[in-house]
Amino acid sequence: MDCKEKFDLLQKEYDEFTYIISHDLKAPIRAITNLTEWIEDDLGDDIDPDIRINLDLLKGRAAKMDAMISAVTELSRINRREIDIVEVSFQDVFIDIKDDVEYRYPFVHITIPNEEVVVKTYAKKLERVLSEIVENAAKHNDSASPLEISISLKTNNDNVEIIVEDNGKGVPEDQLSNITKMFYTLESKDKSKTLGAGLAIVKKMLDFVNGKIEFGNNNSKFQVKITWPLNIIKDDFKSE
Amino acid sequence: MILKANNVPITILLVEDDDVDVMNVKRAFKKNEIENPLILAGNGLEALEKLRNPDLLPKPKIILLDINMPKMNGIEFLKELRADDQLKSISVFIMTTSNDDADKFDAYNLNVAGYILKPLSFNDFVSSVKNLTAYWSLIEFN
Repeated sequence: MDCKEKFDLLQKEYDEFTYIISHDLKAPIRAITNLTEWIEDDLGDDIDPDIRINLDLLKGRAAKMDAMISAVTELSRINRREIDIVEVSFQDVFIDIKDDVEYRYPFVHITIPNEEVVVKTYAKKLERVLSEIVENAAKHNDSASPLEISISLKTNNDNVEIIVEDNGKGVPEDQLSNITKMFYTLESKDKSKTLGAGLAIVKKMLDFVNGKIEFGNNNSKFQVKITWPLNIIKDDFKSE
Repeated sequence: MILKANNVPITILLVEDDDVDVMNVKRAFKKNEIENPLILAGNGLEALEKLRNPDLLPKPKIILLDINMPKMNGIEFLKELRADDQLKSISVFIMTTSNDDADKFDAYNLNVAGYILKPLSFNDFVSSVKNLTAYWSLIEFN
């Protein structure tokens, strides 16, 4: 077997494995959720409060497991899906993100840069990375206090540098190196409303394009710096 | 409510290997007060056998089809169905957990009427079935 054949075989095994995770593991979780809802339904309205709490916890954990499987599946598909290289305008991307995030998080205000920068790149990955970073700032904010997010942009010969700053509660300095780990959350797992998958997905996308992500706390502002390379190399291993 | 075509109740064939999912469909039909005859098959082969049995009358006009099944999966079944002159016009709705692009592509190339992802929650599924049956009641079946 030559190298190419070995690679194809590995690729095939990997595809089968992710298919199993995304499909076969989901079926029993759905069954657990369905059965719980039927039990609830059959017990009717006159249900013991303790039983109600336990049924809700059961459904909550099953929903979390389902979301975790979806996230792992997404992570595993990053190097294979949505890899078209097309022209994309940073400004268009920022406008879409601003509209979407400000609509869904009414206490958030976003300032976006004016520069018109158009690049040919993995457009879907760029959109996902930027919207995930902005949304991440919005969703970790206490819903009732206003949050300012400001985005700035710098271009040099090799890269576009995007800085996203917010005046939210930030991330403790000693946790900064952990936040791109899959399923890492700042709060304990059962209290956290989020999965801790977003930044891991962002990190993997940036690895895919040979980009970079850095985090820092700067004058009571939390700062995310993304370095997105202008020179996109499409090699054989990145195509299906 | 009983959905009818030319005044005859529409028979629905459910091709599904997971018992809980079968119960799920039955229960969701019941919640939506759908009383149409429902025939079951545990995989593609069994479904073809039932469809080709001359005693089965009226023939199902709607098939709800899972993809991952033993013996003959949903896509293989669809290929057989579309190649059979007696059966090729039946409306097929995929109901699956697979959101794999390849499965969607194959299914639509075999003329499915819809590709539905099974929701996690039963209550969401009840409303999916409600929408589906509202759609079926609009459709003129042949």
